[in-house]
Amino acid sequence: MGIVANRSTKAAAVRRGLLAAMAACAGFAHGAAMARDEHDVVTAGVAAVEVIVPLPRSVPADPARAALGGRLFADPLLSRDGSRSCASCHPLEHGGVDGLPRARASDGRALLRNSPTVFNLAFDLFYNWDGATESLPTHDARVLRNPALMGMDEQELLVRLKRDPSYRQAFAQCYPGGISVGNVLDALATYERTLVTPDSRFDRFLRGERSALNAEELRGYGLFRSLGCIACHQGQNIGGNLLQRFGVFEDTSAGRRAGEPVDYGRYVATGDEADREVFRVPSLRNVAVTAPYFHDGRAPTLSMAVATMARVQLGRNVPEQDIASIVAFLGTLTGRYQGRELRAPQ
Amino acid sequence: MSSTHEPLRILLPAAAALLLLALLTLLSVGSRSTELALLDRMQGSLQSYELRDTELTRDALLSRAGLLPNYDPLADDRSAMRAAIGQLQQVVGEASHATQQALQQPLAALVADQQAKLAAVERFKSGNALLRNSLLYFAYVGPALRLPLQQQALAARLGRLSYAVLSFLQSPTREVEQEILSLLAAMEHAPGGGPDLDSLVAHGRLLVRVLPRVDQQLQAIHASPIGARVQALREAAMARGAAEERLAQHYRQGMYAASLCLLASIAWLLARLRSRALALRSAEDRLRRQRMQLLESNKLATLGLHLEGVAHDLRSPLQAVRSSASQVARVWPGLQAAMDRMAASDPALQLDDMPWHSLRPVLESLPDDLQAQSAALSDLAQYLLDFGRPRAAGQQAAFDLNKSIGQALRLVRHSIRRRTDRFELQLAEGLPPARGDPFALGQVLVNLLDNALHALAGRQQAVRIRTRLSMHGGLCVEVEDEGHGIAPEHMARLFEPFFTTKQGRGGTGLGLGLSRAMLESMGATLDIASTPGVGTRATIIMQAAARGPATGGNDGQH
Repeated sequence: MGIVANRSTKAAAVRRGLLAAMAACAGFAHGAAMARDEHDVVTAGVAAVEVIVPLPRSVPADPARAALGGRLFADPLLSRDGSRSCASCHPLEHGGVDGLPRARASDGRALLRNSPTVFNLAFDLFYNWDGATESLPTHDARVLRNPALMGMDEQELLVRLKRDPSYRQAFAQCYPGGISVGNVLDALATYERTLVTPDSRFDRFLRGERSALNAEELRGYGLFRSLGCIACHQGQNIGGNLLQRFGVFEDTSAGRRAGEPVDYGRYVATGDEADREVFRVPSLRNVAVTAPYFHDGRAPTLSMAVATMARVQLGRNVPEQDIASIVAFLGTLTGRYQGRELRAPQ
Repeated sequence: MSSTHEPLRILLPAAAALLLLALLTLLSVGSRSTELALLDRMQGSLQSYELRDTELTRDALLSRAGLLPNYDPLADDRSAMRAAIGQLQQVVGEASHATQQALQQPLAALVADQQAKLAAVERFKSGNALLRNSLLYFAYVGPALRLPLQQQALAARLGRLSYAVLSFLQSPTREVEQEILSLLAAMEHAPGGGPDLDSLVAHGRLLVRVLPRVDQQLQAIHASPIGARVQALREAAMARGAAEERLAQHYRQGMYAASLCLLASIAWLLARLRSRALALRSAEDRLRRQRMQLLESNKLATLGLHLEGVAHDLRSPLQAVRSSASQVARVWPGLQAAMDRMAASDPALQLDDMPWHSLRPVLESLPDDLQAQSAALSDLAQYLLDFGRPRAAGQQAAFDLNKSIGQALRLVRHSIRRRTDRFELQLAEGLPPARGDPFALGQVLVNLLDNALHALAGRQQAVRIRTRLSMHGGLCVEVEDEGHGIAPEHMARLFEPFFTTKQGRGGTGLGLGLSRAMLESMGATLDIASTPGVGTRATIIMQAAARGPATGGNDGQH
């Protein structure tokens, strides 16, 4: 049944996509008119509206397990020295990121990547900047074990949890098997999948609320489409489902901070030459509150990030004014968690 | 049946039944074959996996054609395929060793091909995103370049470039690629071009580089042998399923055979149980009867004990009666003469209202009668006393057989009269004295007579007692009746203690066995011959006493 339903919606999406492609062909034939008129672009965008899909307002989850996962997420007990929890690098009140260019390693020495947000990861295909894992529990297990992050030994974790009567009770209520590594990871993943930020102004716009975006933001959306940002940042999560080379038109090594080693991206995970400098295309949802940007946090502001992207990925030098419009549009992607709009770290 | 074999005969079939039951359980577990259900589940997973794989290929093609709005469907397909293969691996992991052996290799091949295909899909997605972006740029920027009139050459090149790109999209041949690259080289850094033109050149070069790669990836996706791998896995699973089914078939056949055996052994046990129950019930009946007979014989024994006392008590008054009678007999002639004299003087002399002359003949025999009858009574009392007196086994004495028989018959005279009109006593004359215990013989005779009388159906049927000299110098007593006879099946058990056919009619079942035992203790024998419907004859052979002839026979008729 699920497959059938999925296929029918997919067929509808394909039909609409076909319409959009025909509209684009018409644009190609007629040329000039489309390019300079943002309104036309937006009108065309309405036809191709399913390139970006609004987030669901709620996700199904076992409430008890999610609550248990939430407690684990915020509990420093999960780190070897008890100094940090998941929430240390992913504070939910601040867009799910720590606001640092690179995450702090627990030993203070290892060089890490920028902390990606935990929001909306249910709609990502890959995890980590290099897309090394596709399963959330596997990803969480890696983070737990990583000596630079939580450095936790699984047996030690079980010992600690079993020592706490309230954890024993909560696990017994949620899982027939009680406390186990698998159940810890499942509770965490269950909770993390509930971290969804629906009802961004842009989602409201997609749902038909035309006044949700002002003229500037509309213009930004038009540029986002016409410049080609949308070629990679698409889908429900506006990214997160694709891998791409960082630096299609330009070498990006120049942007690295002095003294930092080269991060070969997905190559680190796969060892495949074709994966050098390949990173996950991150979701742009809540992008305005998750500065700094890129895997090494090299871009402190969104406008710098947009300019870099336009240059190295799209082969364009985009005027300041257009960048400002795009940044304004990106600001409409900030969603709400537990009824409040996300805010950037201080 | 010896008692050591008895528990074995019960235990063996019970153990066999238990063994069969265990075997049946084992077979039933074996025939259930969770493996088949597992393989079924696997076929289901394979089917949904194949469906997802087909969708992935189709979505890649749609994506290349620009007909998919975003890459979410491809991501969904990917996740679904990974989940399905995970499910497959789990199912195979749960399977038996044989199944794992059979499926491991094709499954590993499938997993490897899936990895290759999914990697190709990711590269295709990356390339396709760039390709579509560059195409969009051509569509957007190319015609929008505002070239001044004097840049006719550039405009012409731009036109040629657009058409070259279009035909490259149709068929990316080496010639078209060369043409595009040379056009782009000529346009690069063209005066009056500006940054848009430079971007166009960059996108053109990217397009030429990426397009063949994307199509190559697409071809790899399309040509991925996953379908064949799935088919191989499916066939391997089906072969395993067929093998499992055959095995299950064997188990079912075994189950059927074991069920039959179990049924047979249960039936056998039931039959045994039933026969045992019947035997038990009849044994119980016998026991109850025996107990009643014991009570009965106990009563008789008590009676016998008292008989001696009664006889003893009777003897003293009888002795007095006898001495009185002899005294009367002694004085009677004088008394008679005196009465005669009185009657001569007084002819009307009366005694008890009767005249003396008519009373005299009646009174004449009275003293003798009185003496004879009291002597007979005394004899009877003495016989009863001797009859009832406990005797040492095998007490030997010489006695007159016929006389003993006559004495014993006095005890049963009334019974005989009650039962038959034809009692015949044929006693041989001149028999030698017998050796043994006359009272024991009397007891046996009473017993045999009692049996004979009870066998009679009516008064016209005869009972005979005959004595004669036997062929080997012994003395023979026969008690014969014309009664119903003894059924052949009862003949063998005649001498068993408590065996009786006179159930509830006063028989104790002790008679014949005891009789034979008593006779044997005095060296005599007892044999019974019978013809149903004709009659029964009991034959006693007594030993003759060594010397001293006895007195002659008694009177022939009783």
